[in-house]
Amino acid sequence: MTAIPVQSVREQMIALLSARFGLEEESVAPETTFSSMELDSLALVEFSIALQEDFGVPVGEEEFTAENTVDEVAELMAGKLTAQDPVG
Amino acid sequence: MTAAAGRPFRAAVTGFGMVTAAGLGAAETWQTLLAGRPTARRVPELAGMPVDFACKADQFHGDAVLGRRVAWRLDRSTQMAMAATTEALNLAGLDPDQWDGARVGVVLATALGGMTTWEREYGRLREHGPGAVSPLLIPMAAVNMTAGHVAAAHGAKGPNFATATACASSTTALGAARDLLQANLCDVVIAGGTEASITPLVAAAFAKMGALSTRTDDPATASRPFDVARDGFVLAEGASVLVLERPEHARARGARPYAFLSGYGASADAGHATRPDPDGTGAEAALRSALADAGLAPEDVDHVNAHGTSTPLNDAVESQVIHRVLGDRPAVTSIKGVTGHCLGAAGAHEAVATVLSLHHQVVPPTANVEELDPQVQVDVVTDKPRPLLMAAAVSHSFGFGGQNAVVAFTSA
Repeated sequence: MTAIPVQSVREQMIALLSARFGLEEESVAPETTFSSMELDSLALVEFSIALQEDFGVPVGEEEFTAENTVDEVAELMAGKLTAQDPVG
Repeated sequence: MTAAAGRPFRAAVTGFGMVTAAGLGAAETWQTLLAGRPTARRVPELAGMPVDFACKADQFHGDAVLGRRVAWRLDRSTQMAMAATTEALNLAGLDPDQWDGARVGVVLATALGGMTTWEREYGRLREHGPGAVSPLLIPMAAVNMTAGHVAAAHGAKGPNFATATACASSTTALGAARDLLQANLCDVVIAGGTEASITPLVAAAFAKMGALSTRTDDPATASRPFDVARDGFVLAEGASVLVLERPEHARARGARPYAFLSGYGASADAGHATRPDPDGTGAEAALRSALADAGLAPEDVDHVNAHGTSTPLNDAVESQVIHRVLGDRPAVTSIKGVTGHCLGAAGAHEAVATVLSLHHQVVPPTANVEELDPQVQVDVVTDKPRPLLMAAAVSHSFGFGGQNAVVAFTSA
């Protein structure tokens, strides 16, 4: 199984945050929390749907909270992508 | 309050803003109205539909105007209302950082709510299941949410609601706003309407009713109020917002009114759901009530900004009512030849146009009148703007459901 690199997931996530919610890409760092981006609970649910569609893996809205950082969610996503990688 | 009971209450119109297919902002819209330049054309949203044209405000991009950080949470109808509100407050010279928010009300109408959002999310439900439905659907698309979002953006903490009377919704909003001011519950009310309902479902439904023009070979001439060959209305989108104030509040801060909202009347046909009363009894009652409220006699009315939808029935009945109540003196126009029919925003668009007519003393022409319907025995302004000395004007709105609303404006 080939591990999906967290960095590429993080970049795709930040691009998604920018496109969906209008966040400046440069304002989002690996350690930025969602609460500091002023994304409320409904926005996080919206984000979990967007992640699911953008990455093509199931993401439950309970799997992260506003206090998680970008990289924590990037790691979560990288793990899901690695686990479902059919080549691995 | 009627003239008999004392001096009529006049709400000062100190600002307004518009987003229409005819322009971004009231100034640009007004120029298009004066030019009588129709805005209907084929739109991609309706590709493949039996009626595939509309009056779309396609210069308006919510992300560009409001910023994506704000716009992503808002239905297009609310985005347009936010832009029109900012324009109106700027024109009024009101700074929300300075005002007593508890004395500021918001009454913003929509006929159908956030239809593009409803339809998009319903598509996602069908395609991907319930887990794909946005948690923002209800706060984006419910009919009351535009007023709520506008209040939150400007700290307007007074009474806050939407009015819904179909195509009369935003005229009803103006009446309700004036009541809030007259009752001294507010110093300022942000009032008007918005609609962003150019969607396949809405177009299919209105087309199936036979309400829409089917002039698909020449969309620009499809909206032709009072013309003998009119065959239905043209769906439109947009928002218009007026700033209404208690006159002494406007005076105290040195704001100059553009006109006064001096009377309001409303009634119900209490008859067929969509067909207007053939005698126009309900429309007449609303008009007479607005005149009485404003302390105006029929012969005082210089100008009528008509509902004038370009449907065979409305324009025939409405012109009969005008003729019967006001005679052939007032200059009558319908801006829907230019703007199309904006449903829940139509009355507010037409209220702003009426205010601008009184302010500039000119009536914009009704576009696309090639041959006036011989049944229409009123003085319809066609071809070019008509300069006119005006002191009083009325604007009609008649909604499906038999809901009629009329506002009377007097010059400042």
